[in-house]
Amino acid sequence: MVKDKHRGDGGKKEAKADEKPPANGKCDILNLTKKQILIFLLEFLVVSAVFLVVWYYYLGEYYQGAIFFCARPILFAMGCPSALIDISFSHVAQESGYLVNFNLVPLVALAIATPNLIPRKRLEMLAIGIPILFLLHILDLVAHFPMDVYGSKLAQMVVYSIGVSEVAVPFIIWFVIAVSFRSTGKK
Amino acid sequence: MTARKKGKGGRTQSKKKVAHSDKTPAKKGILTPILEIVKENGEAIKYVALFLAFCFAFYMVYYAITVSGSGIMVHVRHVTALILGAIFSLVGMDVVVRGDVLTINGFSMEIIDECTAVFSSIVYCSCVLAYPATPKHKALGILFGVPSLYAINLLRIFVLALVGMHNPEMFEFMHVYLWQASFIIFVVVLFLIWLKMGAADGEG
Repeated sequence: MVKDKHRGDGGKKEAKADEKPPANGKCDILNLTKKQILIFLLEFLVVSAVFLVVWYYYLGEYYQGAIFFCARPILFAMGCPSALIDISFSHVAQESGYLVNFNLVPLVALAIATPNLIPRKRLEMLAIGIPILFLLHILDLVAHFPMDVYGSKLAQMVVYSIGVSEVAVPFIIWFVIAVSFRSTGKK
Repeated sequence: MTARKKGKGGRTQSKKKVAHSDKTPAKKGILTPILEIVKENGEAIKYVALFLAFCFAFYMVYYAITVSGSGIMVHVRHVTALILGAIFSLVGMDVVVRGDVLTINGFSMEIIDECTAVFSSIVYCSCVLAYPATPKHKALGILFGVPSLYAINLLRIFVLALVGMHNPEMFEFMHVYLWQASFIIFVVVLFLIWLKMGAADGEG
């Protein structure tokens, strides 16, 4: 802002040029005005609400089915009896366990709502983020077994850490893909 | 034309040159792109590594507190329930607080660790501490951000309780929506506001 004052007319032109996304497609995050941040917040809330409806009524159960499908051979390899796996999975399904994996929706909402980002970067965010979150959700489900059945402390640590990971992973994926360090005015 | 004048020796020399130049790209092919990526994204990689390290360190503290049964988190839950109880009393509702269980007009809610904004605070503090800024600016970011996250969390539970009392069928839906969506977006928004504060102060 201070620099802009000294720029004069040329400075205004440069500032206008800065509003466009840079060539690398990353978001010039410090150039967001308070109004833009507010719009970003509101857009995020609307998009995530719409996607939650889709998730809640349509996608969630299929996603959970995919997680069960991938977790089953891992649990089997870990020595869990097939009957125990079936009982536990049906218990998780009855309790609408797919809602726990809801953080996929905020990631999609972040990809859509982040301002000044080229479409390729938005797709990159989803292409990288969704598989990582999918693996995280499998880890969450798998770790519950040694924790509940064998009282494993390591598994307990993993399960407890999911609370942090569910916020940290979407944030770090968004940050790495959307934020340009060059534009943040680091000394 | 030049090649004809050079004769056999010229041909041999050019073959040697080709052979030599064939070897160099093979070495570049493995290392150079990786090094280039590391160079280009050096700061981002450093940020991610620091962010993960802080997240891990804070989480280990939280885990140690939880496992040791020191009662810190129990107090945090009780205080959260008491504050919410006071807010609901102020708006004229019938409130009973028993430990971490809050009953408002007959609707009961249990305050768990996730309801204390502890996880979003861990992520927010990690992203502020990992970011390249002065210690004063980082301290300001944490002093401003953590209470804000806690306040947003109280507002979230307040709204949830209202939904639970007036439209119980919508409670689960709203709980999921406000739970993770609000945690993620408010960490992002507070982080952006903090970055903006730094830019306005001439930090950057």
